[in-house]
Amino acid sequence: MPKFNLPDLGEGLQDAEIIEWVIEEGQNVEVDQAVVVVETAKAIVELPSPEKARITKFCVNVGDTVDVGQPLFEYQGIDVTCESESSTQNEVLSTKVQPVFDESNVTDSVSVVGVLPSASDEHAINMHENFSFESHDEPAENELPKKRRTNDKLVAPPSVVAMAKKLGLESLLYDHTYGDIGQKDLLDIYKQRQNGSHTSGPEVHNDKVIKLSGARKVMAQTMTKSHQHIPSVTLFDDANIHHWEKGTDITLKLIRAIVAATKHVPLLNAWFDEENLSVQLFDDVNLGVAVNASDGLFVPVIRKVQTLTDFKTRAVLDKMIEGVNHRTIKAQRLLGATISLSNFGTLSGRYATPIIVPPQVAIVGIGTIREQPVVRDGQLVVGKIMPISLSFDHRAASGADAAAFMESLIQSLEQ
Amino acid sequence: MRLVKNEQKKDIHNITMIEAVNLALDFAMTESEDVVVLGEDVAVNGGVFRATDNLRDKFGVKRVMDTPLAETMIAGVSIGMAAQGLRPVAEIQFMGFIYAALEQLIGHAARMRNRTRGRLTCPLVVRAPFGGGIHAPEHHSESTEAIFAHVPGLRVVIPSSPRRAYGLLLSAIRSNDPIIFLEPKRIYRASKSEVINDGVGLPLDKCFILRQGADMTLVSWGAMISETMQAAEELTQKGIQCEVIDVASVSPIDMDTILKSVKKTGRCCIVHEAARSCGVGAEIAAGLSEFAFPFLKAPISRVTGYDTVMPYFKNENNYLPKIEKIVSIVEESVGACTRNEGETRHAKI
Repeated sequence: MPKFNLPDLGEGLQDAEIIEWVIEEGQNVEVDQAVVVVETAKAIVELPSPEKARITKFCVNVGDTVDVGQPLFEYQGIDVTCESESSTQNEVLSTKVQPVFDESNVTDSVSVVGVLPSASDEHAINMHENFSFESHDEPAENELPKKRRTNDKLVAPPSVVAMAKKLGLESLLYDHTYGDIGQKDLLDIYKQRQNGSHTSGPEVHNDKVIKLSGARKVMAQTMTKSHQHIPSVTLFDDANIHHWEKGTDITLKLIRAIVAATKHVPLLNAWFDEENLSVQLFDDVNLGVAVNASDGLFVPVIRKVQTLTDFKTRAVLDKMIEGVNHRTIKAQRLLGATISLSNFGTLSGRYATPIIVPPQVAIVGIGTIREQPVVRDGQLVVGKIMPISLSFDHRAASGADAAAFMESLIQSLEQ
Repeated sequence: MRLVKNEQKKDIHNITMIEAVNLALDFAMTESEDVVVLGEDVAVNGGVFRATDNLRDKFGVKRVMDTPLAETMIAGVSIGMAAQGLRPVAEIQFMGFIYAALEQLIGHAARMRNRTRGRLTCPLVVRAPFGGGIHAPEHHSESTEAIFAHVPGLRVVIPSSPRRAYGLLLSAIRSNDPIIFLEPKRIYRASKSEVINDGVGLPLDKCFILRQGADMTLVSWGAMISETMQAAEELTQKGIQCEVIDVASVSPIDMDTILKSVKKTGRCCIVHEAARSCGVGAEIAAGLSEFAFPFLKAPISRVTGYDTVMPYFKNENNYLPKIEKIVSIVEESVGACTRNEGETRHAKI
């Protein structure tokens, strides 16, 4: 019976999470009728039936994460009839016949060629007649380790991988802070964790465990990777925007300032390739704008923002925010940023240490704008202060680069 | 298949492997008139090893035929018989003489089913004693099972005990495929065991697990089963439990059984008498690294004959794989991983 495998959904995405089965098991569907809804790196995609068929079996459950190429469901084309073929071959074992044998004397004649060791010799050997067809005891594991993203380097021997999988410690193999890990290390860590979880800490209620899924899961994975791989430094400063008119579109102003600063310091509008230790610079500014939604953090991307008018930029931004809120935004719109902006100040907080989304090199965080006394021309006056936090990947850029970027940013904002 | 009805009570024989072959032939010839035996010296003389002893007297000259010294002809005539409804069991006196018949076996027997799109089958068994250890002259001692295992369309079956010789030969004769049935002559008369003459065949596509163990899987076939089992026995004293698998059908190989065992033990050594390069052991090792790679705790190892012509009898014992060699390879494999295995391993040794 043909299987429908998770297709390559583009952009190098390796897996997807099953959100919902649109139909029932055993139901008939038309060509292109939606069968299952999956979520990839934050976007929702409906997968249609490849032909008019009966969907005979679901291979995965809602909530499962499925690798590209793994079967999702089995189906049977409706026009095809299946004839069962009766096996005609090999009556090898089935033939049962009444035994017949005359007690004939089979002599132990000596061969004409060579000398056969004989049962009557003192060196007669055991013929090992007892056998079974089944190997006892459960084998360690039946499945092969799950496919991994290519940039996650796995350098453990096969048996260690097998054991890690069995103990649920697979993630340690990708965590190079542990160095070379062996089976004994795994056992130790496993025991440590077992003991730890039973003897100390607060009382645990299983119904209070929040299993991360969808966007929150992706966020957790991306942030972990970023934190483990990127030596980031955060620079703080303020821009005084007392001269801004009331009702100024702050986000738009920030976008313009970032574009100007990237012109000045192109190194921060870039991707860092940690394999080859190289920095890819870009002419275009693809700005990722962090948008908070109930399902988690989304960072839609405004492409070539340097070419857009203010009006157009605002229009694109509004459309993206709406897309995030209604979860209709396409996966492609969430990928390919060259620098990011997080305007968390609309909620609360002054300064932060925003985490860079690899392979980007920088992210700008903006805190809550406040009024405070400042000294201008020797006079104490009321200023309007916009707190700026700039995190950058210190492998790709130096402190001086970041300072120049910050200076340019403030200059643009204070103009 | 025409069946001749017979009635006889269950009879048990305490016999050697060569006698088990004779017993199976006797049963099969009684069971079906289609079964005929032919080969050099098989009729009047009863075979050089006496595998066909008494069969001519019992079943007559039309069903037990002496042939000229012409292996090509033996194979060719057998294929003709098989294609037309008989079940010939041909004997090639020694495996070293089988090469003249390769053109017939590879070029015709193996592809009969495919060539006729299933209209004709080739239910032929070619028996040949093989392997060294009996101090025979040139051409009498080699193990070239890999040649046949490489040919699609042929089954290659190798028994390693009287019971398995009896059961496998019966299944081979009843099978519709051409089968190369190789008998390890070193253990033809090495020991006796009880064989029930009930006509029950053994499966042609299953490995036989002769011994259970958790530390390492030893895979072998033919006469080397003897050395392998003795090595496993010796290793028990050192606290190492080996699982021993008799492959029995080297083509097609029952990889499922071997894989399941190696996934359990994480280590495997393949023991065969044939030369090392491109042997059946290499095929098994390749299958293991394809499908059991994540379970391996040590490299797959092989204990085999050398890549030389099988030496004359003076040097024969230097050629054949030794028990000590198997033991040391196993110790090396198991020891190689002591560091990684944690406490269990330390506790055992």
